[in-house]
Amino acid sequence: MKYLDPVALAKLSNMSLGLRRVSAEGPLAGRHRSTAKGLSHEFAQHRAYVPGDEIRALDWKVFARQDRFYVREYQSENILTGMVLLDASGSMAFSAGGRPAKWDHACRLAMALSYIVLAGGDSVGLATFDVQPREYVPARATFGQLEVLDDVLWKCRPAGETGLAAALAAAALRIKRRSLVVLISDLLGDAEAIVQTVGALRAQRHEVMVLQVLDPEERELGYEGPILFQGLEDGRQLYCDASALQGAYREAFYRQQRLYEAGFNSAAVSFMSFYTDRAWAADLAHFVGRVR
Amino acid sequence: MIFTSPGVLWAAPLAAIPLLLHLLSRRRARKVDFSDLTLLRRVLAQALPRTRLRQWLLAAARSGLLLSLILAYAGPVFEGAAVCKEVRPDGACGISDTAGAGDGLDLVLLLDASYSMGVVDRGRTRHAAARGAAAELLRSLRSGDRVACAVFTDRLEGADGRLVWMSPGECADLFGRSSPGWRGTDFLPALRAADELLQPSSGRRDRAVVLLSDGAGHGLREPRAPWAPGIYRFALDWPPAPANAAVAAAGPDRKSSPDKPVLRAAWWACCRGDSVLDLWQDRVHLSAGAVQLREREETSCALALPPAADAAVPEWHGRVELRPDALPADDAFFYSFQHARRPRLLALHGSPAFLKSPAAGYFLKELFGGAKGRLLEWDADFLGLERLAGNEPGGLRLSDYDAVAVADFQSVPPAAAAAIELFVRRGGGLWILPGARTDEHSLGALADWAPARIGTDTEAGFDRGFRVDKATGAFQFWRDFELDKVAWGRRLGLVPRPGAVVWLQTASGQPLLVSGGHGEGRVAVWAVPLDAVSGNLPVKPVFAALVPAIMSLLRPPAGRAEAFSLKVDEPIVRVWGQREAAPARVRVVSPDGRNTSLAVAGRKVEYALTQKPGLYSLVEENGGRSRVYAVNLDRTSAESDLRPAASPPWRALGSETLSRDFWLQVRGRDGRGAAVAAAVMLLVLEMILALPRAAMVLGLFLVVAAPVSAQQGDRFVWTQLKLSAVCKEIRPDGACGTSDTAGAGWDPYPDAPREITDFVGAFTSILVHPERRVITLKDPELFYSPLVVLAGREAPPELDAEDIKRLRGYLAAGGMLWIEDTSGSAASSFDRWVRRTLQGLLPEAGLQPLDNDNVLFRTFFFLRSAYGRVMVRGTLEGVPWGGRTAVVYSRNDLLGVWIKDPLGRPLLPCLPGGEAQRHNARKLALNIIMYSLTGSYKADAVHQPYLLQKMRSGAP
Repeated sequence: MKYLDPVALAKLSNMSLGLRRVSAEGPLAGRHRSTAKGLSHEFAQHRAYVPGDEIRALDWKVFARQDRFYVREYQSENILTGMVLLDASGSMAFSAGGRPAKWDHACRLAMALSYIVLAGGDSVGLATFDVQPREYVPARATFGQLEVLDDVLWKCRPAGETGLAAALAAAALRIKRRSLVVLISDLLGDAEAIVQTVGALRAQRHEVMVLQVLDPEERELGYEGPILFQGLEDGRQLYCDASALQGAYREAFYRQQRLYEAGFNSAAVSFMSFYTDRAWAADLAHFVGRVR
Repeated sequence: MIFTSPGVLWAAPLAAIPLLLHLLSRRRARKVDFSDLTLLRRVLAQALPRTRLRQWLLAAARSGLLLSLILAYAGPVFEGAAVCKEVRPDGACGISDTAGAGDGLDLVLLLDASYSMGVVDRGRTRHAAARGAAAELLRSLRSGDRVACAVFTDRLEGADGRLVWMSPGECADLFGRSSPGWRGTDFLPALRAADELLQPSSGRRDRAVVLLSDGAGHGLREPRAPWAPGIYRFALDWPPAPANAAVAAAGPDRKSSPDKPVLRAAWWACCRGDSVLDLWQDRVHLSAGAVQLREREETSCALALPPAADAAVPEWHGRVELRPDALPADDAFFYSFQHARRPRLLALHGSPAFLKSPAAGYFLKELFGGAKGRLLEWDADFLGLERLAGNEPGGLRLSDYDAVAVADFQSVPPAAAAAIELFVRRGGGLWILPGARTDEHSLGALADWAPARIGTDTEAGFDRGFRVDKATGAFQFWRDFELDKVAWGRRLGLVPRPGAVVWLQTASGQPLLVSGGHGEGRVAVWAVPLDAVSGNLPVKPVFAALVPAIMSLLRPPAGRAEAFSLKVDEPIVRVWGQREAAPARVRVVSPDGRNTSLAVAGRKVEYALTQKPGLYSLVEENGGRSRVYAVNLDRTSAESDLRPAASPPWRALGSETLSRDFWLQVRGRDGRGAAVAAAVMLLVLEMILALPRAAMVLGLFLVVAAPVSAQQGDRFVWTQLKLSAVCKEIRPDGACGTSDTAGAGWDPYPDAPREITDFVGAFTSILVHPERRVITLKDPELFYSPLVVLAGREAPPELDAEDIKRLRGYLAAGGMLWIEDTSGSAASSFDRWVRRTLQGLLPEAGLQPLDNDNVLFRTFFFLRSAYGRVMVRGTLEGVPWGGRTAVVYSRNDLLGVWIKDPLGRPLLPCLPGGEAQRHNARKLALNIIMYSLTGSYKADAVHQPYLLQKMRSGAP
């Protein structure tokens, strides 16, 4: 695999997302509680008998005590479907100061999380997008899926503009059941719309994690003097005195970050920023620890 | 407003450079790829108007800053003019009249052109610097001002001793043509002329004299002279002059002789030091020797010169030179002197055997110039008397000799007698020395004017002894000779003429040596033949004294060497004597090679153009002789002493800032301060505008609120106490020899603080600082930390009295101490140390267990008991003090639960409760921090919904 070497895999083997408590939906039996009642060893509740229920489900002990028919229901257990939504817009190709591009960083994170999900016995899929969905890999619960994902990511190159909110909404349409949704993006765009869209995913009872991948230069704007900026997404240019704008830019950036933190916190979405100047594995371990 | 340096204002357009750069800078933008410009565009849209205004303000501030600096350099002077009514002795104004302002200025500029102005300061001579200062001052004059200029040395040059008003341009031309001359300095004539010009001026005009001089004391020969009132007098102020030395004199030494010429050179120096004295003869460098310079003292030494190239003309000329210093003009001294040539004697004898032993000629020749060298100062030629009588061609001229001896003669031919008579009458000397054949008739015509005639009482037979009749001159100190043993066989009787002097007499009183004069010459007559047959005198020691004594009677002793030395501007005068042949014309060669032909009138010639020091040669035309004159600077005026005058009648103004200082003194207030102040204000404005706001705020924060910075604003900082090692032995040099490292275990879990603050930041609204702060009890930042953590496994060093005092003060001020025993054992040295220390720290409140209903267990999470990595004790201990728990002591290793491996998994197991115990331990740690920040506010639960909602976002 291009994005995960044996050393990285060794590190990842000790990580788990701790999603045991997350309920899941689907036809496959797994270790996650199902939202539906079904066959398992874990008692869920008593329910009044209605015609059509199987006679073998009656709880005769309750009937003996209360002289009324009750049916025993058990918690159904399914596997969890994880879907990694990866931003492949042009801005993800950005790198500065000799650091790796955000895209490479994001790909490693996507692969690492896919591995962790698969290691937990769940299935994982992938969807890349810019203004609209690009690549889509349906979820599968085999480790062979990693090879597929790696190949897809290797062939995919970040380009084009981002319409994160719209793209997320489109991607969400493909996720039918309750799933684990991992969004990996730089979240550069309309912050309120993004938070709203992510909140909508959460409202659909998906378990959502947002991993923001940034280059430190996007945080610091450490340029001096007059600069002619050229956007990687739309190719448009912007002239400004970077020294003069530095303070205001940082202030706006942190304000945006606080907006994300507050919005995702209120929506109970796990969120963390990953910077390309730091080791991704250590940051991921920290993130996984927080999630647990 | 007046500008003292208006030329600087030409630089004013430079102030537009920042504006031009601002306009041009847009084209120099660097192109950079950036990920997404949405945020940047939004920020730019908000900040653009403000940014543009700031940039234009910045450019304007920079332009203003440059303009202010240019104005400051131009030297603005705000006019608050006042006419001086009384000038103090130091040249400044004593009483001024402001009513008369504005009537103009009468200014006299006097430029010193003495050779002391050739001192080099900062790469140029003082004369050039003074000229530059004057030019600047002239440029700053206004239309109503009048100016008079003159150049002076020890006299007012080229102005007939008077000054006249002229235009500033004429002044500048006059000064431009001037250069340092070769004369000395005297301020008095120039200042007197200035006073005469200014005194008739209107009293409503400012009157000022500026002496463009070095102001040295050597020019102020009458410091207390009365000066005209109401006139400003200024002179230039110079930096202290560099070291200067001068050759004061050079001339023939007293011991100098034609055979051994010696030059004596003297030098003077302002300061102690060393130098090298070079000796030159004409253009040949003879020697160089190190000499010591003594402070304000004249020193001399003798320098040997080589023999003269032509012994007949024993003269030397050249220069003595010190190595160049501050004033090069006085480093050389020219010399020229001449020794008189050796006198010559012509011995005319009448016997062919005169020069053979035992005749007298033999002994005389030995004495005058035999094989053993010349014993006398005289050179002698021996010729037969007939050579003179015959008047043969052979170049024999009696005028080439200083004396003639007529010896061993029987008769003197009349022609010879006539020539001798003429020779003596013109100043020559004659020694009449009889021989064996000489009798009373032998003198012939000589007898008519000789001081003694030979009488008839010629005696034969041995006579013995003689005595000195006049023991003066060359006849002194003859007592040591055995005069009584001198004997002779024949003696002529001498009859002295009236006026003749008898120097020696026989024992019987008969004259032996008689001298007298004839015309301008001298004649001596000796009575005894000097051959060894006639007596023993030639072989007696007294013979060697007798001959020079007789010669001294014929010609006065030669004098000291004659020096031909003059001062500059002193004319060369040459007068030929009667015995010299005077030429018709002479040619004067000056040091710069210029030839001047002069006619000799009345045996005298005069050359006056000796304006430069050096060697001037006066050459007689038609192959005649030459004489060299040394012309030197006047050393009598102490021009080499460059010390400024003491108590001068003027005020000194800076040579570099003459114009500004002059106008300040005469007219008004200096505007430079205002210009500089404006520049500083604009600089501050520029800095404020140029610095990024964050940097500016940070700078202000550091300057104004430095103490508060320790608090890191409103963020919680994990502050950990480090009790350093104790020094047990101090070495003699003050360093620690042996230390007790018991306190080195102050940091058992370095990563725990980061985990705890992350946890606090994630689960509470507390803003945390990611980095911890490590302090000692003596650190002033102790008092900026609400919670101080002390952890350890082993006993740290004992606290000294000051530590105890500071820690108690910290607790009294509201601080809280969290002590964590990380040993995990029931009886540790750390525990004993804690109990012992707390006993001394807070003796009035002991350490006691905290109840489970203590607010500390409810400040954030609801907890039932104490937790930790291990369960050594089921509850916390604390010191209740001042209505709160000032010290919290945990023994369950509460910090150990936070340690993780690189993959984020807990490193140390929690016993015995496992992960549930770890979870509760984390909660307890957060509770302790919250308690340190909020105290017992946890009486209500209004914030619980928010906290619970936040916990759902991923809380464990």
